[in-house]
Amino acid sequence: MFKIMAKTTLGSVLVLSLLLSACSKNNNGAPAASGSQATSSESQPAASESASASSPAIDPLGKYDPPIEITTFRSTNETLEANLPAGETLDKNRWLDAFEQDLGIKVKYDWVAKAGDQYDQKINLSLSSGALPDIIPVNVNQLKQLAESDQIEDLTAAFEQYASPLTKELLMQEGDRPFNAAKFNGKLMGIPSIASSRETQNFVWIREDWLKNLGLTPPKTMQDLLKIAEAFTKNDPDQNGKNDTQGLALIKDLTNVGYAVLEGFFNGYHAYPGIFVKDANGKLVYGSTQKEMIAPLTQLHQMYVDGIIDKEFITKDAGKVGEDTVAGKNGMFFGAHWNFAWPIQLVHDANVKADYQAYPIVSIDDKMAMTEVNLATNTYYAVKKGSKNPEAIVKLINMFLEKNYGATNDFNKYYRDTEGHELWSLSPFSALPPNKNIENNIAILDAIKNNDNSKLNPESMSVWDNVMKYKNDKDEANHGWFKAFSENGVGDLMVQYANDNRHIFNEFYGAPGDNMKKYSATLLKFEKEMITKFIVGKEPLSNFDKYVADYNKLGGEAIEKEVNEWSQSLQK
Amino acid sequence: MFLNRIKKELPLHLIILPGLALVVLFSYLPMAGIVIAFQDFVPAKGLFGAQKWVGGENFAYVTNMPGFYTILRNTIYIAFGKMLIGLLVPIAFAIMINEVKGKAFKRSVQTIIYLPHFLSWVILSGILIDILSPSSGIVNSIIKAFGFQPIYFLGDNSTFPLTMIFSDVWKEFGFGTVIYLATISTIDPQIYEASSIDGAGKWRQIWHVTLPGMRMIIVLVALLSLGNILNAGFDQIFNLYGPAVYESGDVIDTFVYRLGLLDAQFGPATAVGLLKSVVSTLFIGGAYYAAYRFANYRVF
Repeated sequence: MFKIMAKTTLGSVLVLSLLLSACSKNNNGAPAASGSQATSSESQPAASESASASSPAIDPLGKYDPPIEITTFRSTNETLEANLPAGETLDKNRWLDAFEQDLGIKVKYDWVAKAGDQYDQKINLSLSSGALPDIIPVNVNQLKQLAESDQIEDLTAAFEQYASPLTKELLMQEGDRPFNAAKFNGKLMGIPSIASSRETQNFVWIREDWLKNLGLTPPKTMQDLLKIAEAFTKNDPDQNGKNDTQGLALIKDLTNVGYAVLEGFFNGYHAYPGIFVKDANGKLVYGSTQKEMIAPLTQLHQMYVDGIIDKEFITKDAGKVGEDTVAGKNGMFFGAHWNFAWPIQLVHDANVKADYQAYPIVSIDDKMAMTEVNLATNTYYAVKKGSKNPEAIVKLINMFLEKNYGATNDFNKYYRDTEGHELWSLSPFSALPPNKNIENNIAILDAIKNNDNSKLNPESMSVWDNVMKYKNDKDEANHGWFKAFSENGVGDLMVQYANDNRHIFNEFYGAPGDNMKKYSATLLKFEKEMITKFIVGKEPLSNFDKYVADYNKLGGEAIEKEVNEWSQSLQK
Repeated sequence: MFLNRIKKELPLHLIILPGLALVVLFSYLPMAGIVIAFQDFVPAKGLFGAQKWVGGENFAYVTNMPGFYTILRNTIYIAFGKMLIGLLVPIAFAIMINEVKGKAFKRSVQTIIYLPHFLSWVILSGILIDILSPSSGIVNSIIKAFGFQPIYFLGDNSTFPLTMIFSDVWKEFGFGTVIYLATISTIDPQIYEASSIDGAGKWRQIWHVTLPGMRMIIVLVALLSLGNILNAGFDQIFNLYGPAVYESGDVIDTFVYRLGLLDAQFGPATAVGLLKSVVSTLFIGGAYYAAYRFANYRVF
């Protein structure tokens, strides 16, 4: 289990770090057009002109004179500490100097801890002992607790007045969800350290060499996909003369982990398990209990009976199923973009002929299949009640974004230098515009297509290097990278997904309410148990209505009510 | 006289002090956290902050949760099975291995059965899934060779708890065997000689000499294991269960894990933990009293 987690996490971290980190020079001046659209269409910010007009004294990047001192917590990690630029430390570096010189803000750390368990423990300890610094980086749950115990400042006015137009634009690239999540009783209690939600979008990965062996073409519709899955099971796709393959790989937990899961399959039937979606009346409803689930579940049951899904999937976790994938026992799965590093590179290592290719998820009808995503932003900067300068955090974020993406940016000094130091991570306060990764992918794909890497930044260069190692030297260990950044590779598909806006957000993204806390343990168990039973046939699909009724009785209804109240509170 | 005794024993008491301090620091002080079981606990307000007291509400909430009694039943079934079979198997095995003549064989068997004790369930679970697989596992290959239907040990609610019990016994019985073997070796050989002169065969010797000689240690081990009546073994079950066997495999510890760690429901999770401790204490206390009354057993 932990080995698997490590592998999976390593894979995703690796890929994410490469994709996340880069920001090409091209987008410095003009941060993505889609971002500005989002800004104007959403209700939240927009008041920048009026605010600055009514009180001209406010300067988003104005300097405090005399300088002020603010305290905060700092997380660190081994990669960061091993790659510090010469002469700089977490306590003394170019970002802190810039904050002090340009903004007149001296940043001090109450404590520094390694990200992960150590940091979580320390922060929980600090929260429970009440030893809060001026700026507190917290998750949405902690933010809610702090807000409800009245320990932090309302930042609504500070953000309205002090956020620069650039900040408002970049933070709104994914809409106003990160802000809504940080709102309690209509008040903004934390500044979101935004991240890209699209990283969890699922694709369908298919053994292309098997398609060729069987003379099949890539799926355009769900019907095609089902035919492929059946052929992969029954027509000996690996041509070893044995009936030893399965069409669709699946893990016992069914969803969430991003490899051999079912979200992409259900999404193809316009069912959205595990998230809240708007129904026809604009009410939020829970995807797992909607009637759209019946058709895909019926299909999955048939596939289980036919042996297209492994009869033993109920005892296999991602690690075990991964072993089967590597051994060539299955030929298709739904999963996230990072699967090209794990397990697909391992598949290729084990069998050079094995060739996985990602495809967009397909639909059962003529409506486009949308991938379900959760809000990825999970850190918010709260400000301790009674702090003298609550607007300081807004100014700090203004400066962070300005130095990296603004008109006066100095990318190589503040984001990443030519030696590849992740300079942005020296700043204790950060926000990474969600569209950045997509823009990176575009840059890399362009560079590869035109065989010109002159416009690439150092981190994208490492992707380029990996691709070239395969292309020029036939280094099979980099086959995954090559595939990912080929035309229609997964890197390209991410761009296509983004262009098509091919995602449906979980419409509930706030801190869990009382009912949700109270019932979700029981409900999640019940849901997984029932869905598993429907697939293996322990429960007939004719009992779906009973399942929904039981679900609602066990607390589903109470949660739905609570979620809708939360959603309505956002409209105010 | 009294002063003399103090003078003599003082250094001994001082030696206990560091150990005592550690026990107080790490075992008794954290018990203050028990208050969480009676609170609507919000971590941000602090352990000693202005938490809302809810009395027995957390207990009522947990025991009223749908499925709680199934979970309780699963726990007791698996835990009791492990206790009982885990007690008998090592005793039988220790007696058998004690009768083996070849020293080298005896030692190697002892080592081999002891080995799984050192592997973590994270690793063993992967191995178990493979060897118990109905399609490709070795166990089911044997079953099929005898013409029976393969059994889905880990995927079927009727076999999952037994699989938990027997795989745990398999992992741990080597450890128990070592303890009993050590006990058997302390039995005076003269008693065996005397019994054989009296005409006792192997079976009679085992019944009248070996087993009585092991009695105290058997009672001790049984007593201590009674404290585990609500411990079905988190590591093992967490690594082997899944939605398909929640019905028979979800136990208190996996439930608390989901409740406390995944859902951040600290109050109810602490309430369950407290409930477990109280039940364990009652069982140990009761069993100790019974052992004292009926087997004349005492720790001090």
